[in-house]
Amino acid sequence: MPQIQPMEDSRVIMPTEAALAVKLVTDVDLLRLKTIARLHARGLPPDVGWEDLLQEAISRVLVGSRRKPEGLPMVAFLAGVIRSLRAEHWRRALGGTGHKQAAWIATTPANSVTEDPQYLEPHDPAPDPERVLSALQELSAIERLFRDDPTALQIIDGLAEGLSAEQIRACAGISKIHYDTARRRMRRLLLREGLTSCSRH
Amino acid sequence: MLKTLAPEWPVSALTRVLDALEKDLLEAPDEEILQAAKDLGMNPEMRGSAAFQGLKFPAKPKISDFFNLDAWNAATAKQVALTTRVERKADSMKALPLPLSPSRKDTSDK
Repeated sequence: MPQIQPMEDSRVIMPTEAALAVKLVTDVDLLRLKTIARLHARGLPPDVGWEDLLQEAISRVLVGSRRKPEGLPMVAFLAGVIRSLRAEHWRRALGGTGHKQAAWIATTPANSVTEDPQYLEPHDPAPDPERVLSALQELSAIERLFRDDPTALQIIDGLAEGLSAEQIRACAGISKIHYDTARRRMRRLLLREGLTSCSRH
Repeated sequence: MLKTLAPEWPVSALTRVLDALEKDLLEAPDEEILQAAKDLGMNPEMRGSAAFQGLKFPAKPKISDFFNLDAWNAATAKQVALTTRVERKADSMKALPLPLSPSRKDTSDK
């Protein structure tokens, strides 16, 4: 009778640990990626956390489904994978009702589909109200993070509008030195926020 | 600044802000990251440092952190093994530490 053999080593190693073991990243790289993953996990559905984004990104690189282009630093590449995973999660969340509708149409006779006006409406590509609300909440959370820094708030407003550094400086009337100093302050705050206790995000 | 009243504005704005801030974090020198951890009272040079929560050890505790699940795993493996119910019962009878047949107590036991 076949018996299930006990595993030699019952420990489960996380992809981050494996990446460290094969020297794909360093300890400091992992800390940097943690802050980036926590940043990108903002506004995602509650079932997706920053750990999922980071571990999945590293897993994909380890198994070879994502290949790093020559000359690109590993951390920048992993950050790009995290960004694309975030987009993937949103696409899946938005496509949920669309897939159900498509399945319903596929299993229903053609003449009865046209009788129901609900299925004649074209699909709206705009984000659903839930995602819009979630994005608004996250934007407010980011603004709250920099509430004591008026220059940082002006920069955030400019970034949200898609303005370049020069355009933000021109609109807000900030000198280059003040702008660069504010960006450094913002970066330090984000690092602290990203490394602090993981009870949120 | 004037914000466009398009419904997708918050979503695209959030994406633009997150992407710009990500670039800042990518450009941060290593010393700044270590300093941020030290500011929070963490020592990243220690293996079990809280900074590595979710990286080298899970951010949330697991049931196996509190209970030894080896016995449970062994029992489950036995249950899913390709043995018949009769064989399983026979095995469990063998493993019993005490005989099932009743024995009379002696007077000395009382």
